Amino acid sequence: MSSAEVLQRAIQAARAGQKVEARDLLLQVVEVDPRNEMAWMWLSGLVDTLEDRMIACENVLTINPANEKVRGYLTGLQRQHRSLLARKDSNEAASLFNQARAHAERNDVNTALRLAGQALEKRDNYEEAWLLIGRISPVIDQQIAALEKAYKLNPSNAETALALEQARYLKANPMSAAARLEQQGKFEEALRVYNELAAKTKDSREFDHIYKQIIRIEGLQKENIRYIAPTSSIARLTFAWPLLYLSLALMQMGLNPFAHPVFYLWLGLPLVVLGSFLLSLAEVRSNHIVWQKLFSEQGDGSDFARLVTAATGWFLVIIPHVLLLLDSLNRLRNFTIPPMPF
Amino acid sequence: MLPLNDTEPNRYSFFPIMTVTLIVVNCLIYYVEIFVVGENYWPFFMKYAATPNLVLSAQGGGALSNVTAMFLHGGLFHLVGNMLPLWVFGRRIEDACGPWRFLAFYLLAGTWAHVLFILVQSDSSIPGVGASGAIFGLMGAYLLLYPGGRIRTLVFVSFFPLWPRIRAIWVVLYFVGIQIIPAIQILLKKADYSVNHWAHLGGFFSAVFILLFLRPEAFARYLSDTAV
Repeated sequence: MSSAEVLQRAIQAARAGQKVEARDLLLQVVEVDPRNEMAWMWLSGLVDTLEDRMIACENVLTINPANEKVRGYLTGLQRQHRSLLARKDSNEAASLFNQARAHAERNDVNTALRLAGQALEKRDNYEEAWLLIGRISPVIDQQIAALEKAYKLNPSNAETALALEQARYLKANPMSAAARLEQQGKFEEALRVYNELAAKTKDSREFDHIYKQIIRIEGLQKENIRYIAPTSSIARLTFAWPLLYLSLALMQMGLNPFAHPVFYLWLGLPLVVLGSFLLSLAEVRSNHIVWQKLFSEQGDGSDFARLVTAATGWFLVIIPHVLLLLDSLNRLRNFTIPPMPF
Repeated sequence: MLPLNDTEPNRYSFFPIMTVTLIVVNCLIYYVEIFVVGENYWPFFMKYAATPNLVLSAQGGGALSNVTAMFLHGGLFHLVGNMLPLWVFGRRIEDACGPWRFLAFYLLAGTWAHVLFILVQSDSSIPGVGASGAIFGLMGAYLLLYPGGRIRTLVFVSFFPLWPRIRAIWVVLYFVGIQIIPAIQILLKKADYSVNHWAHLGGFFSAVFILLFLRPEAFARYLSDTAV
């Protein structure tokens, strides 16, 4: 049987819905006559996979580049193929990113960075992955590059804009960057930054300062000092002054606020709490939201911001104590000295 | 037994400015007591000392008298007996807290010393004076923060003076221990003592609050069981 006859039988079988038989016959045809355009055309509709269909179409176009119908069909197939590949990559990228985020939450930064990088190889426009790298990378240049990518992908994300601004601030202020790493309990990385700074600086005073920081952090590491988050320290220290104020107010009210109430002394308590909080905030280095909201800053509060915060804190702490003092003096003015009992 | 010095160095600060200031202020006020107030001490003490029945009836200076009472002393021995331990125990507590929080803790310990004294001897019209309540607070805090510390202490063994370095725990336990029996006698038998034993215990127990006053690094060291 000639290949033309086999082709005719294949076409009849295909039209009769006998796809497997038709495909086998067509494969026989192209094996004997690889430049049979008609056979390849029919095959492009009968093979199973998208890739095989595309190969069949490409063969048709190699034989007859003017076959516009097949060219159009191939373009459709290629679009479908790209879309499938992208969906597959996207799913893999999402899976890798989720793993990266889980590792980041467990402070396993290296693995998190590697997985986030793999996610980006699958999907370059993965904003969250860039953002994650920008947040956890110990290298400030890598942070900035990643955040810039994330920002370019979505300029309306205020969180990315803020993180990028902060990263640029820390690059321009490496001492703050080292202090920030220490705040986060990343002593090794803080030491690396300090050591780099010590190697670069030519100012002997600055070198002394950096050297002291290095010695201090090495001491903390050597003695295995537990890391305490700045927010915990601020919360703890906030209690100090209100506790004193409450004790003094209690003395003023004869240890019985119900029998001898002085209402405005109670009103002073929230002021002392707020003042004590501001004093703690000014003392403990922390990337606290107050610095961003009130002072539009990226770091731990400039010297000026810390000074203003501390001054406000002192003012708020002192005012209720002055009221307490005035109340005491007023009572002393009306006080009749009792006679000596002995 | 008289504590003379804590031989360990400071960790965070160079000079204990607030401790020294408190000692100077106490001495200056004692000078005023002796040379300005003189014989007319009763009205002065009534106004500026912590007298239980006056505090409880919300008469007199209240909070102000509670604070001023911490700076009044009944004699030179009383003053010296308080200022030496203030120096010995205060220096490193101030180092661990910073000067202002140290002052706040000192005043808090003195206040809680008065609170316990007033609650136990509520009907007393005898004014309580002296820094000892606050200083017992410092001793308690010292015990919490520096349990392994050693204190150069003057002791007399059959009239012979010796000044060994004794573990702080023994010095503090000695001073707290000698308060307990008199304090029980005051509570149960209304015994009359010229020493304010309940104020000492009140100050000592208030030492637990020191943890709220520590610098962040000192607190981290405390939690890490390392020398503060």
